[in-house]
Amino acid sequence: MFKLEEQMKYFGFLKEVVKRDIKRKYYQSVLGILWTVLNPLLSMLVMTIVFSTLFKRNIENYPIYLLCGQLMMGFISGAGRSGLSAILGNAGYIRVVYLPKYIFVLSKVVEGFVDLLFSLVALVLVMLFTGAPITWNLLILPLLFVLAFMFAFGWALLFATYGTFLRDLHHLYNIFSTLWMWVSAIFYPITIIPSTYRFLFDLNPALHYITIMRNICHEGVMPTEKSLIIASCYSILMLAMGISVFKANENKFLLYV
Amino acid sequence: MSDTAVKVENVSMMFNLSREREERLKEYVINLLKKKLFFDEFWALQDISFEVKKGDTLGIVGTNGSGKTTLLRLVAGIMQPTKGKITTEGSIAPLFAMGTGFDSSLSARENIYLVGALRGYSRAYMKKRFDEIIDFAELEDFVDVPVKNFSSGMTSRLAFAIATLVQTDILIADEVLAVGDAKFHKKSEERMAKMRSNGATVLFVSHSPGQVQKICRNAIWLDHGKLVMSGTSKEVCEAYAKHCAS
Repeated sequence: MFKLEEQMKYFGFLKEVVKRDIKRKYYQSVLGILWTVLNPLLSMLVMTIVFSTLFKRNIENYPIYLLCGQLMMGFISGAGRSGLSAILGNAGYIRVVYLPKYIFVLSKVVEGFVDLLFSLVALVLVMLFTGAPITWNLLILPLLFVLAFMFAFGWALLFATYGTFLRDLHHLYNIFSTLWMWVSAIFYPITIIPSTYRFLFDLNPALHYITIMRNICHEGVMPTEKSLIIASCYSILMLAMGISVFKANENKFLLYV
Repeated sequence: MSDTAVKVENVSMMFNLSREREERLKEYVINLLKKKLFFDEFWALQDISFEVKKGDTLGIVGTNGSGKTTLLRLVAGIMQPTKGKITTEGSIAPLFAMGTGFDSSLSARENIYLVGALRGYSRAYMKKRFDEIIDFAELEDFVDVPVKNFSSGMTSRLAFAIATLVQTDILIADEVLAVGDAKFHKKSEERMAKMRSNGATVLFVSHSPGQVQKICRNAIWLDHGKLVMSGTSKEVCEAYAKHCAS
């Protein structure tokens, strides 16, 4: 039973929770929300210094190449990480009030998404500064973000469910996300992977979102239809999987928090 | 529309006590191999049935661990019963002593907005009623103090003030009058009486038979998850008091 009217009642709460979490993240820091812009900028700077000489010939405008990958990967991988503690961290509410529990997971993903939108400021600044192509293709960015959001939400629902039952996942996820980052061609050009192994990399959903983002912001070209279709399939599949796993288990959460 | 506010039919609730040990992967696998995983069953409630008419006040008495709070959580929809069915009609305001839904690192002010949003009230509406809540909870000097620094009396006063802010159809009160001073007891009893006279149904849990007798018309008595007795609060409370004394 999913009544939209009933769900709308909880969106006020969603807003308050997101606000609370963002406020808490920057609590007592001097620069506050400015860190969301500074963070990707500074880490991009470090990575550029380390890697740019290595891949100078393969990649032009390395900073933008890097930023696209970092931002997208950070959002998707971060959604899973924050999903892990979405249920456990809100145990105080889950124990005493009835509330659709997906709200807690959604709030974490929205929070990451807000971060992503703020870091776009950093991306735009660097694009202007490095003379990256500004084209009409940028208008596809919202579509990409919708797809990425669907994937991230499904992914977070999955880990919210299993993270509640199996606390070991919190430790495993760190290792997994490091591995994931390295197979997602964030620092290096995908062309350095031998073509015999390329199909393995194509199975990595994150790579498709990153590639589309690079098409739009780095090369300034229209993403291919094929890549958009593959990304849409991944988004729909992951969302459907996340929802069904979460739905099947949400009534058991209370016994584990 | 029927005249029944809460209908509980043959409800049982089972907890798996071994769950604590399943949290680590290694032990989970060991338990799985030993086939011990689903052993320690604990039935917190067994085959409970009762009905509460609209506008009625039902007291629930029983010793510690008799399943009172579990029953209220089921009625509030926080948990789903293992067996049986619970039907409620109208809006529910839950009020639990064990936790109030407050975020302890936030101030009273922020918690009021957050809990308000949780119950579906906009920030603007809560702003309008803000002074009234603070006034009722007597927290004028502590508006911007984090709730973690509150005394238990202060926390429960705030929780009560928010939960009873608007008229609801069903008020669920679990040991709410266990903390707080006599003056606040009087104030909250008055407020509950007012809600009742406006047609609210109240489920009231207390260790004190005296309080139940004062507030409720009917009562049930739970013992180890079973319904021992139901009837008017006078009968049930007297029998329960006798049982406790013996």
